[in-house]
Amino acid sequence: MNSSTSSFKHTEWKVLAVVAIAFLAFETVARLFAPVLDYDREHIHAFPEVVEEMSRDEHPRILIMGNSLVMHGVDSALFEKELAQATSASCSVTKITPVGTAIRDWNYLYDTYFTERDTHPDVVVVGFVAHHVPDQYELKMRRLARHFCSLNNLRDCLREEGQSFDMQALGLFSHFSALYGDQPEWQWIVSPAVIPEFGRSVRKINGLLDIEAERAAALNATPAPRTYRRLSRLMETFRAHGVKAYFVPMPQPEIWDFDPKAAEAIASRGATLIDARAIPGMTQSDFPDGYHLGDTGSIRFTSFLARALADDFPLSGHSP
Amino acid sequence: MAFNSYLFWLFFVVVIGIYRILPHRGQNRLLLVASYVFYGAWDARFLLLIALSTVVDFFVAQQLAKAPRKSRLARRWCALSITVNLGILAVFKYFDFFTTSFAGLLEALFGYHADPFTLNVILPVGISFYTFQTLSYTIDVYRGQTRPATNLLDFGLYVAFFPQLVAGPIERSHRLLPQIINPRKPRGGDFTKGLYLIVTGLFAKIVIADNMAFICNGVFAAPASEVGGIDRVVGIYAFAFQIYGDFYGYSAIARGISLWMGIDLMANFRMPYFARSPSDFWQRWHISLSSWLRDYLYIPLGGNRGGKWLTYRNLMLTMLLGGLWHGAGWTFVCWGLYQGLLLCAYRPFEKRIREQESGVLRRVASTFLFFNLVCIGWLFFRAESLSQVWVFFTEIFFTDFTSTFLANYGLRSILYLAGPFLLFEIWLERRRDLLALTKVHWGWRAAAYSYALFMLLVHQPHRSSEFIYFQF
Repeated sequence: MNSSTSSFKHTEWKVLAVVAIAFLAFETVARLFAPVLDYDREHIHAFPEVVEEMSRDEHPRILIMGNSLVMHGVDSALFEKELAQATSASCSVTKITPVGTAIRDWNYLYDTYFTERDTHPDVVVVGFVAHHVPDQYELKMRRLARHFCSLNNLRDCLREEGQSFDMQALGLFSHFSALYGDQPEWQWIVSPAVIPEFGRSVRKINGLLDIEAERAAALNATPAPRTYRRLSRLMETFRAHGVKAYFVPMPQPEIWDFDPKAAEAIASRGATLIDARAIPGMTQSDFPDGYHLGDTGSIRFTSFLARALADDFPLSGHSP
Repeated sequence: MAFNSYLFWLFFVVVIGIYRILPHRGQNRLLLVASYVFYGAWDARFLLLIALSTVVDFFVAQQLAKAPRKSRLARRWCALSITVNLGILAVFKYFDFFTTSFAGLLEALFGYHADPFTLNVILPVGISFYTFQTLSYTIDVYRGQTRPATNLLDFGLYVAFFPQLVAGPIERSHRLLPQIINPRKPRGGDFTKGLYLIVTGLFAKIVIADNMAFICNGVFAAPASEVGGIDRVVGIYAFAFQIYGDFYGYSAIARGISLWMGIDLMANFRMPYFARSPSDFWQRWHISLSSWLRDYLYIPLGGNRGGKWLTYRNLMLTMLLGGLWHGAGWTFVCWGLYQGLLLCAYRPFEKRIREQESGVLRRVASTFLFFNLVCIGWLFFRAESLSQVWVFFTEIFFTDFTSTFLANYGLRSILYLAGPFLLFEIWLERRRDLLALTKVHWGWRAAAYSYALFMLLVHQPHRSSEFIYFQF
């Protein structure tokens, strides 16, 4: 070192050492509590066992994948029973439905938990609504990198999904640190303890800001066209492993427009589209919160889905 | 490449890593290149403006050194520098505002509809900061208060030094130039002080400002049907802490990283919300700008030397231009006028307030009163338009002040996120030392930084926001 500059008191080493120890302590606590933070975390942390169990189940093995819509909308036991009744054959059903996920997450999730373990179902049923399948769906990098990526596909994930250096760095830290990766959940645990109105207010402000952002976007530019590269990639993965894929546009209180480009992408990759947007007999009362299916809706949708798959029996996957 | 981005810290690690192995001249060259890279990361085209400003002022200062002091020739050279710098500002920051305002005036007064000619240029980041900095240099050389730089590259670094390039502090040549020109010697405690400033800066920006921005942006975006007057009040309070955390945060980080490179920048804030009067406030808030306005505008206008009414005129003019410095918009003009009015209104009582040392209750009351007056000003500063200011005023004054969940959330967030920082500032105020934490037992610092780390890790903002002062 030459003419420069800064000095470094020995005491500051101690300060930094204590801060590093504090970080490790926070991280340890975060890791200890990660599997029980909430229902969703419990579900995600159980993926390895779920997949392991699936590998021991009888054929045909059906994996039902999606987010909270599928979690609330499909009753696995009922589905298995109705399918068995309709086909006089047995099958096994596994449900993987991490909340708030979409096509981007499902790609990495499938790679990490199924492809890397070389364990595949015979059939995959993916449930979604309009905004879950386009590439433009909001990126949740912390969650993606922490829970759905492995060391093997992390690099691809950061390169393909990280739109900036900062996003890539966030993904990298999130993958290795539970504090980073589960930060929003910790915030939603700590803040309401101090600020009881936290959840309700954050939701309200997010709503107000979303409306404002949409208004500004509508004024400023025409929205970018929707693309389906990730949807195609997921279907390619299924096809490469001989997994028969069903894509199910799910019911909502109002019938929604399904982008013909998405339907085209699904058909062109040999997957089957089961259009469940309008199920006979389903009414708005089947959606107690205006978005997810409730008990009655779940029964109707599950039965509909089981019948649709029964029509296609036997459900053997196609060859890679 | 903002200070709260990972990219910046990677950039800084690379820069300081090379910096520490270079000799003094090499360090200056490195910092100049790094500063241009830093600025170019926003928009490389505007580097030409910085380069133009640098070359003109370097050349003008050389000529000023040759011309007889304060001669007509010297005045002309000085006028050239002022014209070029203010010209850049006029074109890039104010042209569209003035043409559209003029067209609006024509229509309002004479009913004549004119389509204003606008340039629609992007506002270069930090333009007001570096033009004021370089302008002060030529004026100081003209006044004989600073010797002109003899090396263009050193002067280029003075103009473009990356930690303070885009949002200040607006450094004076007599402070910063010698630190660039002369070899920098290691100073005991620079690392400790730098670390303290960086930690508090990141805390103020990320934990306080960005979380307050979320509340404030929500309240300002909400239509009247969604929120009440009490929510609007809390939204303005949230903005008060947002802008403080944001700007204090930037200035603190700028000082911290500069200290790690052996350069000591001026303190830009000194617990501003503990001010009890407007002049007290302006000695604590954005000190580099307020002292610039005092030295290059208020005093040349006559300051307080021409009697009561001239003093009021000078205060109003200075604050009006100070408002306009912040942004080309009527809300900023009104904010400046409001600050001028506060200065004038408080002027007869300044001495009494300053001497009010005894009576904690009275001091707290006058601080609280003045904080609320500052917050009224922040409404002008934050509002999108004057009509929004009007809407807020009517809603606030005609509200029943019934507490709402949103208002409770806002107030509790302020208490939880900004409260501990304010308590810390009370301690600093009592110690009369901005760097008091660096002078206590290391264990206190370790505890404070661990707390900051916890808050930084857990209370990330729901939506990130840019530094507010970048747009100025």
